[in-house]
Amino acid sequence: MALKGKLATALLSDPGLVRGNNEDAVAEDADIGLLVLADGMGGYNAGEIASGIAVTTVIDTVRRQWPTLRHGSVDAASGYSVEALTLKTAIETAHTTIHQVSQTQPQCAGMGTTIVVAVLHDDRIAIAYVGDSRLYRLRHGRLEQITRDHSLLEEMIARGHYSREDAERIVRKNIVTRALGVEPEVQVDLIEDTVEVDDLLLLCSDGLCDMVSDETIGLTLKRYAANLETAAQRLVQLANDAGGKDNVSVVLARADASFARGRRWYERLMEWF
Amino acid sequence: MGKLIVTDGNGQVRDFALTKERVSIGRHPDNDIALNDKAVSGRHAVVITILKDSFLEDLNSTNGTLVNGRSIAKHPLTHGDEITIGRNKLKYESEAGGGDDFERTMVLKPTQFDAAFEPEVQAATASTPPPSAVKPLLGKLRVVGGANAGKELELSKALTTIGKPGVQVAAITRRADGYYIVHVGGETGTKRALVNGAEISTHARKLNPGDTIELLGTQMNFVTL
Repeated sequence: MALKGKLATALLSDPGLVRGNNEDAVAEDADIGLLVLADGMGGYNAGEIASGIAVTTVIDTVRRQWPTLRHGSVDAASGYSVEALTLKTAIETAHTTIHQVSQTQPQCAGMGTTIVVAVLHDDRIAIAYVGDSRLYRLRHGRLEQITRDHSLLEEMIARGHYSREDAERIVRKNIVTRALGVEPEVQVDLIEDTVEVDDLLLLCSDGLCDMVSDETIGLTLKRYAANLETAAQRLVQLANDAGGKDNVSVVLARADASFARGRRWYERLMEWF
Repeated sequence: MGKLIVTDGNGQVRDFALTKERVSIGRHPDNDIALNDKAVSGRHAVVITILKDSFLEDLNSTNGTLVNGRSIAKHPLTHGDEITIGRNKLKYESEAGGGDDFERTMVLKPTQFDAAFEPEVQAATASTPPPSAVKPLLGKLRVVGGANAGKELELSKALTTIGKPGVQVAAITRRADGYYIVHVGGETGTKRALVNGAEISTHARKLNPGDTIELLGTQMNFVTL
């Protein structure tokens, strides 16, 4: 109950208007402040299996490890908090499971999934992700995309082959460079950041951000910030109004009060001065 | 898989299937499509193919590359595009079909990407670990002037905080593409640190090498290794 009354959340997943099935999966653990969203891919219902395994495994793994963590400590070698590293371990565990199933079950061959996971703790957020599912933050009325997709488009920009403008004109959006379960190895990216009271976090699948502009997402979150259920429904509706070509999923979380563990974390972790 | 129908200056026609991720075009005989024409540079252009999409890039050739009569540097090929290189015409024909597949998310293997963009690593085997887009860089803060001049703080953590609680605090976060600085302590209240003379906000601001940060009267430079 650590975050009871301090964190409001809403989750919504919709198949959209074109696809017969929903390969997205969303889940949360409100006590821990854990939010998970996965967007599966693969033939028949393999995509659903992949995203389902991913979400379940991550929630289970984090739940199991959470009470044993030395909360507030940072791994010296990597520079990441133990909370962030737990998310990484959980995603890697999910990856191994999905990969094994896809290798042994012919109907699951080649299945995979993206994932974005966030955990809120001690007025901070740890984010771990693979693929093109995103995390945005609305702070003081301004929307910022915190994650950078593991996609062909971003990779081309990062390696300096194309400017963002050129790449967005030229490169298809639906090609990801990393996914859980597909290759033997997976590389998980971690981001850690601060949380301010009233921050609104959005985890979403590409079914939202491919169909709805960041500007519209930002305006919608701003307008419905007080009612996350409505905000989630509006976002899904906007994606469907634009054609609903893909499954669309959103996980929303709003920090309603400081959830610092004892003293504010930065008072304990101050590096200088 | 698309193909190029190459018609040279003498009217000779040949088909070239774009089966490789990277197909080089130029006068030098070791090009995949070698064009024996003085108006063509030794390494003139390249066609990069990723899954079903092909992109044409001019490699800073002397006489340039035209697509449908217009000079291009980088161009996504669409069915029917006519490329002119020197006295040669290359017509692009895309693979037929597509349909539902087009919208589906696809995963590009790291080896496919490297083969397309890094010809020098083409020999690499499938066992190479997935490449990271950008090498994780290490940033540092170096104090300029005052008693602590030259003192350095390595930004080796994902989240580093500097300042004095209740007075002035900034957090520096490390992301895949670099470091970002953000004010901590809410919209109102405590004073904000300065970056290059401008107050930071509660929105992340990317730090560039050489940026000057001023916090609690101390000036620091952001440097990367």
